[in-house]
Amino acid sequence: MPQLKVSLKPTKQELKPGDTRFRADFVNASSEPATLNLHAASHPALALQVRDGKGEAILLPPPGAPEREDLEPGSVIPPGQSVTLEYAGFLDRSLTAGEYRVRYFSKYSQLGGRRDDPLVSEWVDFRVRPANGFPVGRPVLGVPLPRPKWWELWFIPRWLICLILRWLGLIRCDRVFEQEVDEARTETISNAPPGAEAWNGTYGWRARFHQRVEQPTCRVLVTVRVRLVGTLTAAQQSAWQTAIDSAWSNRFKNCAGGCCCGNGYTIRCELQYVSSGEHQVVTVGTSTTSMTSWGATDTVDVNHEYGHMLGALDEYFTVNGVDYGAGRQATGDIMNNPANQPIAAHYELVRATTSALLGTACSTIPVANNC
Amino acid sequence: MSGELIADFSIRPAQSSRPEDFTARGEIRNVGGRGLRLSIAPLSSPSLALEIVRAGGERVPLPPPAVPGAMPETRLAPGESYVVEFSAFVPQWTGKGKYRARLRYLFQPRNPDADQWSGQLFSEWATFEIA
Repeated sequence: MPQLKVSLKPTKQELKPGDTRFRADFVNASSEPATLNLHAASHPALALQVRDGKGEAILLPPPGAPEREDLEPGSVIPPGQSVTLEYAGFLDRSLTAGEYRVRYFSKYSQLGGRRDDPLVSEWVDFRVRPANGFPVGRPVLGVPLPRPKWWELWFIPRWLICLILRWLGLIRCDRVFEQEVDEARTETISNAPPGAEAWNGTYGWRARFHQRVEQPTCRVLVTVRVRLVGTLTAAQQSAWQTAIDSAWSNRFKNCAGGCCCGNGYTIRCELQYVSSGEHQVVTVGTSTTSMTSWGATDTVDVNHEYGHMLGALDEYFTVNGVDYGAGRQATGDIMNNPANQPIAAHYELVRATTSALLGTACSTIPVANNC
Repeated sequence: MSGELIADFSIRPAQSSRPEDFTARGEIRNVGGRGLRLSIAPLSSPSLALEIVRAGGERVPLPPPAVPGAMPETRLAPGESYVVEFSAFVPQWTGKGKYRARLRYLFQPRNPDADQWSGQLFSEWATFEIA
């Protein structure tokens, strides 16, 4: 029997796809110290099993490439002590609404189990509701209508309630949330016109970045760390950073419920140069030819490639069955015409991450609009 | 037009622990008896011009190419070559193992001019290993 015992608890019984959040409590029930690699155990794909209502396995997105911490023995948990991990946002947003269950399962010693004696939690049932929620006011079988909040009963404006709660110190708006994002992306380009058939094909990459949601500044800071292969002068490095900042920052914001940052979190995107710990390796060349090969003097196409790093797909020819027409159209957005601006949908992975970090639904709207 | 062009392809080094260490070199040579116009856009990006497969035969997807823009051409006299070199062409997230890759040239305009090469051309496979 493993030294550790593990139990999973959902934060809500009913979840929106992409908004899942479960807490795993590990307790050392033995009289000897136990080890658990919390870094490796935090990868949902390595530690969680998900089944649908028919018992079919739901595949989770692959874990990131192993980091140094993943290969270490892990933390020591003294007898009687416990540690907690949180798994958030690991289910695909396209998951069909319905009943599901999840459990912790691992045969690996780093994750608390053994090959012949895995560490297993009880199954936890939960329900995924439709991505767009239920129609307002319409009863849904098995789901009670929400009860009015007490301040709605008394017709007190929400901002006033928030003001009072903050004044009383019951709500803090000084927190900073951080997360490394690493999601696989694929796209299939088809219907390229004669002469451009070489573009037809399936492409794959990983959208990777670090995201901070800062309540004190009401800002979402997205950082893509790149390691350069090739020579780029300081002025050229600065030009890339300025171009990307100008193209992607301060255009949209994430609106979230709650009492903090009532007018949203402005999204700022930056490019950071590193010599290790990179999200992407970028090869410096004479012109920009792909997501990971950038032209040293280019300050236009690099902005489009940065969009891929945030998880946005191309929008020219036919991509994943959607016909966008030719590339570089005058009215096309940045994923069609690199000289133009992004749209809210290009920040979808940022929005989902903000939502997971704040634990509430979020939307993306232009900064000039009110949340 | 087949037979007028041939493609050579090589990868250096044969083995490395870092994906970015590999450089691919492709050469398209006019072995016919007349000059040819060659669109070089399909050779502009490793994502367009290279195919990579794992030892087991599974294709390795490459990151998306740049948005197509200008379609530059070059002219190859008999015996002349056009050479492309792709440094760090292996995606960073590619795992350890043995791979093979080849050069692909695909250009099929609707109404090619008489001296414009059109068709599909592949090189032989070259192997490399991420150790």
